[in-house]
Amino acid sequence: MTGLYLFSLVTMSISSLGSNGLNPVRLMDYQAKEEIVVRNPPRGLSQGASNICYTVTATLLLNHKICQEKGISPCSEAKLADQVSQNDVSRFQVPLQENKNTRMEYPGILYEDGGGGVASVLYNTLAIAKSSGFVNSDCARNDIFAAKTGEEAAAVVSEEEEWKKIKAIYEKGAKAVKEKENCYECGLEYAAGIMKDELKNYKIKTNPEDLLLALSGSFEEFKDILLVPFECQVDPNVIRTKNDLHPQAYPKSVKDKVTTEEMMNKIKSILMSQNLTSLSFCAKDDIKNPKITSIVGCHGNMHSLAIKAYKKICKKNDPNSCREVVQVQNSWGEQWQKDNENGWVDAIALISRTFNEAQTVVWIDGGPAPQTKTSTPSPVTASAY
Amino acid sequence: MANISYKMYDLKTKKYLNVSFEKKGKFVISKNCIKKGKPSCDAWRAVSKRIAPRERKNTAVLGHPAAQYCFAHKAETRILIGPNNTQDDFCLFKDGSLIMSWSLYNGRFGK
Repeated sequence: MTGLYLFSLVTMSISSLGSNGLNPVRLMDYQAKEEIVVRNPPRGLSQGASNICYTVTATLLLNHKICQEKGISPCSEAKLADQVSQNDVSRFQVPLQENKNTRMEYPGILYEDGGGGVASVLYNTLAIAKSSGFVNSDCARNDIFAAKTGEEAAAVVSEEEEWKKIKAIYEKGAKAVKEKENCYECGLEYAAGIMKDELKNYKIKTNPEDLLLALSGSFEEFKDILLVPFECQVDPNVIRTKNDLHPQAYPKSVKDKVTTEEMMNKIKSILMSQNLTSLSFCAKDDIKNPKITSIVGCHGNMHSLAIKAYKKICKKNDPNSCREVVQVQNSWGEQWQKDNENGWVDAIALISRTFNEAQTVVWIDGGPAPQTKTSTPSPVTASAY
Repeated sequence: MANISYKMYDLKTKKYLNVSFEKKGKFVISKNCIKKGKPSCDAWRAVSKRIAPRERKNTAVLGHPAAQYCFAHKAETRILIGPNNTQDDFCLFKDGSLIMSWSLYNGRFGK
């Protein structure tokens, strides 16, 4: 009996997981009083099993800007060659060094922890892109990685066990290449062998020459080759923009104390200017037990996504009962959007999970000045979203 | 979603394969699972397994709950390409069967 009771407790504890702070709202039950919609949003992306929500979010913001500049519409159906590779953006975690702002000077991936910030990734990506462009998502695809069945991690970055295996391949290869450093042909032959055997379970769009070069360098350079092959980093596989794009953040620094209402107003003003915005928040289901009051306290449960629309809505049968909602573009695949009211979630519940901390709202400024459109919409129907 | 097709990158041929799915109850399962009109494969057997999500360590971020859940079932996780290059996540099992990761996750944890 005791065993059954314990089993029930365990079962109950894992049988219903929450919504990660994303509380979907069924718009059909409401009438919209105010709405702000960013036109021509980009196609959604999935982060897969990797810890790169902030990278995917940054990529969505970049793709929207590229569609604006190049007049691509609908952006959601843009060619992969006209959109930025999230693999490439995921490389830009490491701060730039002074006067070293080209691709060849950038160290690439150094982190294994996942996480990071949309602001810093965007800052680095945009700085490098000024001279070297963005790698397109047709050349460096995010859907081509897989590991052996039943093993940990099939993803692009940061799955610990998988990277351990890749590191072992690198260490073995680097040692062998060093031993063959006086014989280029021998090194090439060895690199070709690694591609055929040890790396056969990874789709690596590279060649023995580049792999040999990567094995002669650091592990970080080797990892970069897996993510974004050299051939993708040069024309015609890069996207160049004419506009001066730069990331903006709100609140700007830890000194800036703002309220949730001010956060909401800022998000509305960003959307009004036809910019997507990212939001980084604590996605732990229960933040009251134990009580979490800061992003630091939410380690292991942070998440980022893009916001593409806002509505103030009131109940059809009770016009005085109103709430604010935002439409998010999450990095959990198309099905998540479909299962969750196409991304319409309670705005205040979501924003309060930022704790109004610095740089939790990030967007890209610059580019063509789009016409601003706000409206007092007609009653919302199912087809409206 | 009675019948829907996705593209999956095949590591052996290095080409995209068309993979067809159908809905069995609330689960989206690859058609290679259906034998004599009934589902019979690793992906379908996973549906009835009561497995908790794997504990995540050494990471600052939450990750993708459903994609991560594939690992708890000893399956790979794969991003497949849908209509208009949309992306969805699937668990790929040893026998080649697939299930949409959100349908497996929501089937287990209720939605």
